Amino acid sequence: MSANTLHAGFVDPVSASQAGFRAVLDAMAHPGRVYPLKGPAEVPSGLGRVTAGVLLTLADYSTPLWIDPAIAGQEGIQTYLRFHTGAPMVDVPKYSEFALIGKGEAPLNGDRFSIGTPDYPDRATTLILQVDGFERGDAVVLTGPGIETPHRFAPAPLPAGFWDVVRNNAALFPLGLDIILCGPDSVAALPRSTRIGG
Amino acid sequence: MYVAAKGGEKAIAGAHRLLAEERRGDPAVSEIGTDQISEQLGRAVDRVMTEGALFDRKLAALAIKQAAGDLIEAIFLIRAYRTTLPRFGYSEPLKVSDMRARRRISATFKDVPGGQVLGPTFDYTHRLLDFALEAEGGARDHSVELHSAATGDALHDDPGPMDPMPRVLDQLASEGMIEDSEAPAGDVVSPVGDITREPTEFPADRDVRLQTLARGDEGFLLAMGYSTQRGYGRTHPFAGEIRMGEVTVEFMPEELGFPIEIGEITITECEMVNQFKGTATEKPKFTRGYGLGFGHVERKAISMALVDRSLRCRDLGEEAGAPAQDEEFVLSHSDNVQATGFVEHLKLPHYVDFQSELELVRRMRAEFDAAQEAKEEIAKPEAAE
Amino acid sequence: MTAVQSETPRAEADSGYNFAYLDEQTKRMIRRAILKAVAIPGYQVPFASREMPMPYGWGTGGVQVTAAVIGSDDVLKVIDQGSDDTTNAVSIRSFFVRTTGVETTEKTRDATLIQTRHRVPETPLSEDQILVYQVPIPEPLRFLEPRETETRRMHALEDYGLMHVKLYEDIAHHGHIATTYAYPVKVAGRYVMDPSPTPKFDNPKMNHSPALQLFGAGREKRIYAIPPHTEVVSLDFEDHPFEVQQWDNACALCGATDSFLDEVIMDDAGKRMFVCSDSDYCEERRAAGHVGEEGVPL
Repeated sequence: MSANTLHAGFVDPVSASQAGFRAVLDAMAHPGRVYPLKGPAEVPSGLGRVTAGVLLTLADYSTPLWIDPAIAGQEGIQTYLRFHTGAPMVDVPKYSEFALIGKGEAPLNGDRFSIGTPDYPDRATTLILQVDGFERGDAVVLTGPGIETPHRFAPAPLPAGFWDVVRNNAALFPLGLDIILCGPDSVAALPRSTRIGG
Repeated sequence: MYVAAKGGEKAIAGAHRLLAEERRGDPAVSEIGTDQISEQLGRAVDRVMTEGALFDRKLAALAIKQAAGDLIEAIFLIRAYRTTLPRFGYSEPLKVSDMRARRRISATFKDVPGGQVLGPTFDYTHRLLDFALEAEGGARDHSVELHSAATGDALHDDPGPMDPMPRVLDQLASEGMIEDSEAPAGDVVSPVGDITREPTEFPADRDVRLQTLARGDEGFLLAMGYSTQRGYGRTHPFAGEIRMGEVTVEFMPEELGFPIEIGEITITECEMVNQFKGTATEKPKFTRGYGLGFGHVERKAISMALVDRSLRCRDLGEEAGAPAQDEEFVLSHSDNVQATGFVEHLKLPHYVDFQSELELVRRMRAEFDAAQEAKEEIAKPEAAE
Repeated sequence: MTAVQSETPRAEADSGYNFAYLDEQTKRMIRRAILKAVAIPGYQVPFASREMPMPYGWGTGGVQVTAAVIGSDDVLKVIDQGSDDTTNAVSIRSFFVRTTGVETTEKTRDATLIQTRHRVPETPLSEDQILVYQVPIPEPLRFLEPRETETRRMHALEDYGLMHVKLYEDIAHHGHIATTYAYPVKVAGRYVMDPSPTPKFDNPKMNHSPALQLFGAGREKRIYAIPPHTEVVSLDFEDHPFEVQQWDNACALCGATDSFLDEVIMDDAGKRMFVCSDSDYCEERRAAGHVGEEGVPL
């Protein structure tokens, strides 16, 4: 396939977005639990299908999007997301409503993103990370709203400093970063209310 | 044996049928056409367009007919329809200076370039019921003659061929006597807000305030404006200019890169001139209040201009304390669709909450009685001694 | 019992409007607000509420939340005052049948999505369910401080002293906390939240509920949430602990003594009876053979 081909988005955007949203909502309401999510059939390289599905579901012209320059295939991903979501691309992570983080172990610096303000804690960046799975990483135990009994969670690969960002949320709450993790065919989330340990 | 009331669905269908019958009235009387409403109840149509925030005479007329003349209900119908329409973008700012004015008056100068044009106005009618109107086709030109007779030399009753009509307040601006209406060149201007897309935050900027006032209930703004005149936050207003007429709407399609005309709308604009005492660092000068609405909505535009000016008290460093200067109070309560919904929702069943109150009040009454009895018990032996 | 489907035959969704009435951009905006609400339990997220084809005060916030959440697989239940057959519940249910064609039910257990005004169902909810509340005034501090600028700051500083003062004044004056509905709660140890005008009887059901609870206030343009398994504490004092309403009566139809009872006036002489406000709960008990004083076996 030529580099200039623009891959299609959702075939049935109304029901696909609804299903995508319910998966993300379930994930956000049950931190660390994994929910299946179907993304579009074909996506540009470097962008997971689930990741594409999440962004097509949630992003639009009103949500500035930051894409980690470390992500390979930047240009194709930008073109694809700009076309299907209309989201304005921003260079400064602080200005982004969604930030797409590169897969791998390159360090993640949480300070670069918006954690909201005391008056409007909702105005915080949602980080979207791509992982290979939720079982094989170093396990942590999660507690907090949405979690009935301490829950084991082991996504991988993760950027260095990832768990520091999550731990730091506890100190920042109600400010903080909300995180959506996209696997090959499923999604999980770590809202800022989630605590590690316990 | 008690059976809980059922059949809500049937009751609703029945209510809708009765409503339709009531709206139609006596079938022996011919049905009113939306064209008749649009042509002959124009001021009602204009109000519905303004507060409904949609310029469409036909739809406003339809809404008035469907709402049986209940204008707030009609405004609601238009709003609910408007919100489902696709959005292509924002028009270019209206060039109100280029208005083809059918009415234009200034209360601040005896005469102004372009003249005082009275146009269609109730201002000098004698409020005598015109019984000739009861008969079809009666008294057609009568009122027009009255207008002309009252106008005097300096006033035209018809603009005729257009004279250029510079804005009255521009004259004051050229002397530096009044604040600028636009930000000085080079200033960073934040993008104009959109109250239909973003929830209002307080404190609100003037763009958001004006949008809210433009949709605001005419009666509410009238009362608020009136209160400032009576001394609750006085602003020393003068009607610098009121104009009503047609302006061209332009839209710039992204792909073209230049604006094209997409139509013409009727609007009413009011620019109020208000005194400003100045501060330690600023010279005394005049300030502005602004009002704008679709169609011929003069009362609304004037009221809006008064309230706009009052709400600027914070920006101008004035002492604030009157209701019309209270931004949250005014902006949060000006929308009649919101207001009527919440006020009228008291009709909905609230018996679960009321049950909770009943229980509490009964318990508190029982406790009160018990306490009284206990007091009397204590008092008794003493009385016996 | 009559299933709702037989009253309103499952209609093809009305083709003139998008699925669930709202356009996709509006749904996205509401969905983003819902996600932030879930991430910050009890915090009121501002959202650009739309004009709906029903009046403000009739549940436009709840309807927008439901419309953003609902999918064609959902089974919807709508209640007002605990009952499926109150006129506004009927009206909202028929709106969604018309615009989505989803299956509806009166049975709490069978529903995946429940929209409610003023009650939490008596039947315990499960993890697979979402409860959507219609909210008139989302700000619990509004009656103490009418200004949004002030209440927003109080939430930011976690400054809830005023609320405690108000509740304590009640105790001083009346010997009780005189708030019987919309009784304020603290969610996940941080935000004080209005549980909507549900009777305080229902507050304990919100605590550690397995179901996700979403709150929509249309006129006031706010969405908030309680995630599942989240601590929801009704504000109280050590010497005046929170307590719920109690009745001397049992439900006249099903004999329940653990449900919220509506008082029904029977005649001019002031004869009263008490029946379950939750019509499905009452039906279910009667179907299981429970009979109250004035009831007959089903």
